[in-house]
Amino acid sequence: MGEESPDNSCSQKEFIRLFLESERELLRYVMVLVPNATDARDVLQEAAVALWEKIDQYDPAKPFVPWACRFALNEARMFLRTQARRNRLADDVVDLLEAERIEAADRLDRRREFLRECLGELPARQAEVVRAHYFEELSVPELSARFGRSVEAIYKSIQRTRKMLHECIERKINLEAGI
Amino acid sequence: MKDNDELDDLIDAWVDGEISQADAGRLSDRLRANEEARERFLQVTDLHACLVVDESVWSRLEVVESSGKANFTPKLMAIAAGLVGLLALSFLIKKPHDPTFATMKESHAAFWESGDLPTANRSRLGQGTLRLAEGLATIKFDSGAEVILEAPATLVLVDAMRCELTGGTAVSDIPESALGFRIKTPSADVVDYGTRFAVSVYEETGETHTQVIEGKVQVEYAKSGKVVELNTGQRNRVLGETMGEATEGGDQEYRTIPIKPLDHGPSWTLLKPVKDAYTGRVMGHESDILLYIKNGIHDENVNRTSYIGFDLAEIDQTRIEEAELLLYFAPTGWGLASHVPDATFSVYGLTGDVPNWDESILHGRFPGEPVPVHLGSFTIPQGVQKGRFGIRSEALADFLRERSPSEVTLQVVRDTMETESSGLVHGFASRRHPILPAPTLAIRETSL
Repeated sequence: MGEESPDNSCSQKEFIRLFLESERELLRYVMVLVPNATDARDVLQEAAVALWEKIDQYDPAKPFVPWACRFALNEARMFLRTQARRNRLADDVVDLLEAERIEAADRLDRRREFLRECLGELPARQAEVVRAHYFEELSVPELSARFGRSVEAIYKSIQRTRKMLHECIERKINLEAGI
Repeated sequence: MKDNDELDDLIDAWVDGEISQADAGRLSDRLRANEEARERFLQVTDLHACLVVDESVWSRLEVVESSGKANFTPKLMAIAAGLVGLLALSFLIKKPHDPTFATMKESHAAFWESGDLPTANRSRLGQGTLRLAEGLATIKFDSGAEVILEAPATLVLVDAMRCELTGGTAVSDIPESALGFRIKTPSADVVDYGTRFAVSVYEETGETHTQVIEGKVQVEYAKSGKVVELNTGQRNRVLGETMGEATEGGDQEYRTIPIKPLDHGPSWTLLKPVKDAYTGRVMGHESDILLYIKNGIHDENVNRTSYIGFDLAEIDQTRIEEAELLLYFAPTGWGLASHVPDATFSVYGLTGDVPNWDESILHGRFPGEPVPVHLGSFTIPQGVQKGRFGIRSEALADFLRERSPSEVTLQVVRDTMETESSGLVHGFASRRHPILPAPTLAIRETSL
């Protein structure tokens, strides 16, 4: 452990750079299977270790994310197993989603480009709740206390806002495609 | 259509971690059966993920170009730290959630009244209220915004880009990283688009004065949404229904705000105690005009706890909307301030078996077996012995609403123990104090 050749430490540097550049992207993959942000970050930590162990299999001539996302998704799936969570999706469905997530990468990236624009179009009140939830990472009970609304109302508000964003993105994609 | 709604509900429940086992099964079935359903699932979950991951989408204005990349550079400079150490610096470790977003940078001759935030220099600050009675204090927000509070002033910290000034003057210095920094006042929203400006709020009227020292701000009138832009040297005034235009006024002398004894308007009723006393009296150390509080290291018997009785007969308890307890602290002359750190005090409401106590019997212990209910806490910084402190909480309002008969007893204790014996004894004015106001219960009732 302690004695690292200069070669090795160089690739470690390179790995860290690649990982830091890609971690948001990888977190996006993990969150398809593990939607809780805190859990997903834990999963990505584990994935970082797995990636580091396999780094000699990585071909630096190729992009990092498509190679690394498989490890991240695999780590997410292992997390689901060990957690034995009651709200698990069936294993065969997880397999399908995992494969299709990788295949859908370009389509999802296109949608993502409209996210900022659509956020800007939200009514101020709704934008405030989702911002506090996603950016400040306040839990639903915390939001309920801050905005003086019931937990149920906050869930509804977040879900309604996500739906508005989804529809807004859909609209802009169609517009771009000339449909 | 209805089918799609059900699918969306299932996906939402799953994303928010709220799904039942049965619904997880139902969602699995839908996803297994239909490729379109899976595509929709991927779209919604990725939207959710992007809201978490793409922090830059939350920054207002479009100024933020390429800030994402820049964020990583300092991390990479620390590469020598090695793999594990370096990962600890990454975006992953944003959790566990740190609720603080500002720092008490420095203060001059500052004298604080009860707020719920620490006031020592370099303290980290989260959401809460600062009440500056005297002096100056500089608060640095993590966004880069710097706010100098000029006493007397009350500032509520909301997040790294927002605060609320309910009274007093704040001079703000806004670097590029904090463009869009917002100071909310009772009558207006002042949004900064660069550099330095001063905002004053006159507590009694809610009047907001804004003066731009350098740069540009927008003053948004809260009621009509009207916006006035102010440039260097310009000022404006928002009062009640009127929003002033921008006027040139750089040379005018800045009027500071007169000190006001109490910031409760006509909708508040101020109650004085019908009785007050403290337990744990020591012969020769007692005071008739101050109520003592102490949490000693050695002997529980010499701890002092204060009790205040109020009669709510003139209040319609069912209409209590808000309540605040105000205590006026004064030096007792006993004990060493250096043996008591920043001290937290808690106010309890007594419930259960509360006998009709008498001021004269409180030399030993409080009679009966009352059950104390925690109503709120406040902190007095080390060395501070005077000033107005107290609590304003929903728990206090609840307690007052539910009490019957109309007489209530509040207990004030110091949670913080002295670090060595002979620590400071804190004290606040009793209803017999010749100069300072008695403990005051301020109650706001809903209008009929």
